[in-house]
Amino acid sequence: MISRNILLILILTIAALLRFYQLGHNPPELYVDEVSNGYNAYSILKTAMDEYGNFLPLTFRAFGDYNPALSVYLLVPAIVVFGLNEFAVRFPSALLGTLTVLLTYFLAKKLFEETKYKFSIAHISALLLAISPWHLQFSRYDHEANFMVFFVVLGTTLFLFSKNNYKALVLSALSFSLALNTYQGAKIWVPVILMALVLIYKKQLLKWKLKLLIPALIVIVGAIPIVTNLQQSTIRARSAGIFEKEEPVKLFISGYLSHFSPNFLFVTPDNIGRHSIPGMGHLYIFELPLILAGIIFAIRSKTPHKKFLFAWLLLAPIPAALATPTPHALRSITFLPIFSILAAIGLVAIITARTSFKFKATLLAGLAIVAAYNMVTYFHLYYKHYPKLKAADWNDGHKEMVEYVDSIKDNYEVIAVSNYYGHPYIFVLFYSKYDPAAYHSQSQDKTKFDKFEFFGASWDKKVAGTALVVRPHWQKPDPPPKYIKEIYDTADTLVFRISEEE
Amino acid sequence: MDKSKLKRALVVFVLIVLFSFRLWQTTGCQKFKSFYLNPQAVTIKVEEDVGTDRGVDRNISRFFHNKYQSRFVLTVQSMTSMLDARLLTDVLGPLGVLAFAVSVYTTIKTKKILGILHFFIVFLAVLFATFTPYAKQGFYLWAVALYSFSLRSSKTIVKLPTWLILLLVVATFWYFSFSWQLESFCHDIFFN
Repeated sequence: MISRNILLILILTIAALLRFYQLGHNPPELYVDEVSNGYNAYSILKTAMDEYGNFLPLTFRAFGDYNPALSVYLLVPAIVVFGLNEFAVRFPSALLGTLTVLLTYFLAKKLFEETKYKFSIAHISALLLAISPWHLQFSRYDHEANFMVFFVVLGTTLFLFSKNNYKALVLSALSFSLALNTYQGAKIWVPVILMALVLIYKKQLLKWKLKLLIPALIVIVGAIPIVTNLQQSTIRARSAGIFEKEEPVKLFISGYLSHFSPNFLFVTPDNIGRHSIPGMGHLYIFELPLILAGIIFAIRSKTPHKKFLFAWLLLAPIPAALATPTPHALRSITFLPIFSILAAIGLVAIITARTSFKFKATLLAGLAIVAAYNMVTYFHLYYKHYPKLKAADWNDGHKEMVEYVDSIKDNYEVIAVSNYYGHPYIFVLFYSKYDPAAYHSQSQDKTKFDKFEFFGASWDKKVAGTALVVRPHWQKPDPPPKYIKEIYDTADTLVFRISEEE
Repeated sequence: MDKSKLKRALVVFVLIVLFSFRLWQTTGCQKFKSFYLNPQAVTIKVEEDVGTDRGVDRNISRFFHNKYQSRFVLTVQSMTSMLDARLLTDVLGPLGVLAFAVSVYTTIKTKKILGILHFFIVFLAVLFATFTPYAKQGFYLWAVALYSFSLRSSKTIVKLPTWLILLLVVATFWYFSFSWQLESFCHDIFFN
């Protein structure tokens, strides 16, 4: 028992180390959505209002996509403790990512409680999720989807524990209710997984009779922010969804299937730089034979939760398939932690297979070597290649630009910043820690605030005095202005040129 | 012949007709997508990866980026792209995918040596397509291996309700008809 707990603590330590090490520095800089969430949380902390001056909103307008609120509110305590910086913004995601590893242990143990290998499967599942490139990627930056994974795994685990425990059922409903308010995709994924749970475990549920009303009510209350803001809540779904595109059925089928592509899962990830490491799939190659073995073993096993395990696997790509582009690692994060659990089952199946010891030892030794090489390569790619290759995907250079501009802004009448890279105002607000109360009254016009102006293709001077102008590296006015600073990203690529103009 | 045997024969016949229809469609393909692992790609990948390792000790860099590691990754990449669910659906159609999945499931469940050998042939066809520069031959060998393996499921498929089988047949024919451009495995298609 003690050794089992020590093993679990060790796994959690690994999970925490991998999630918190250099958290503020790699990925190289905060992405624009992280900056927006961070500043809105800062604004809530200082004024109880978002950047637009809305009092404790249930959805955050941000850049017009009205994100569910919980992900922003969760940042507030971290900003209180660590201040407004990269580490604070990413801290809740890393923390909940670490806790998801712990939850996976309990989930896997519950799913296989009737087998004698439940502890082995639980420990290996947790370990594989702790080192999973897919889960690490999204635990190391502030994205709502990672919060959704935590609450869905928590809700599911509690649900499975609720057979003879009503409190667990109520807490499970509360967890799903919170999950609904974390991420846009949760509006699809939570109802889907809840429906699967209700259908598969209806006998277990029906025994609570009228008592079921309370958990049902909790979930309904959780849906209120979505229902009452239906127009705004569906903006993102309408822009990225397949229903307003040509041949939606074909898009859905093709999108759904693409998420089971071994190439996408193990070798070539999706095309979005923030989702994965170049040269790695979302799962390790060594997990491929383990997952296959896990599926075979699970098919043959007699666990009562088999149906649910496969339902999760088959339903997981639905939210991602309802949008484009596909395959999409972020929207299909709903797969987690099923692949880790399946790989764990596969490994246990190999270890316990009735075959010669020599054969098994050779196979496991080979697998261990490939796994170790796979993991070390992943860390090399993550810490050495990734910041250089994907600097642009992380808005690298914005922090240095704002800090520089902020340090000399008193010398200028106006500061003009190009909006070529998108939403420069939020970077200025965040990195200069601009007083949210002072910003609220200026928030409707995104082309200017205070001394700052944000411009498109070219900038025309409207105010007398000296101006500081920040342009993307390729924008070269004629005649050339007096350049005073160049900003480079981690890959030594020129991002901004800053000039002084009379 | 009893009724169930007749139904099974009919299912096999329908599957063969559907697969033949798909194969006929592929005769319009002028340039098949290649799954061939080009040896030059290995060298290029190593050079690119080592180039990114500025400031890293050369031995360490070579430990992570060498021709063995790159060849392994690119081989897995080629092989797994042939198991892409979208590609399999384009080749087999909805009924064919179901038949293939059922065949895999039955092979695992029953552990019959003939089934395992048959599955091994599919694996060999994947290997052939990965290591031969002849894309057309590689594709046909692989497709025929998939089709023949899928036929093993007829015993289980026949147990499905007739309306469902009919629905799947219609869906497969519809799928083959609307995706006649064969986008996932043909680069250039036209019929004379």
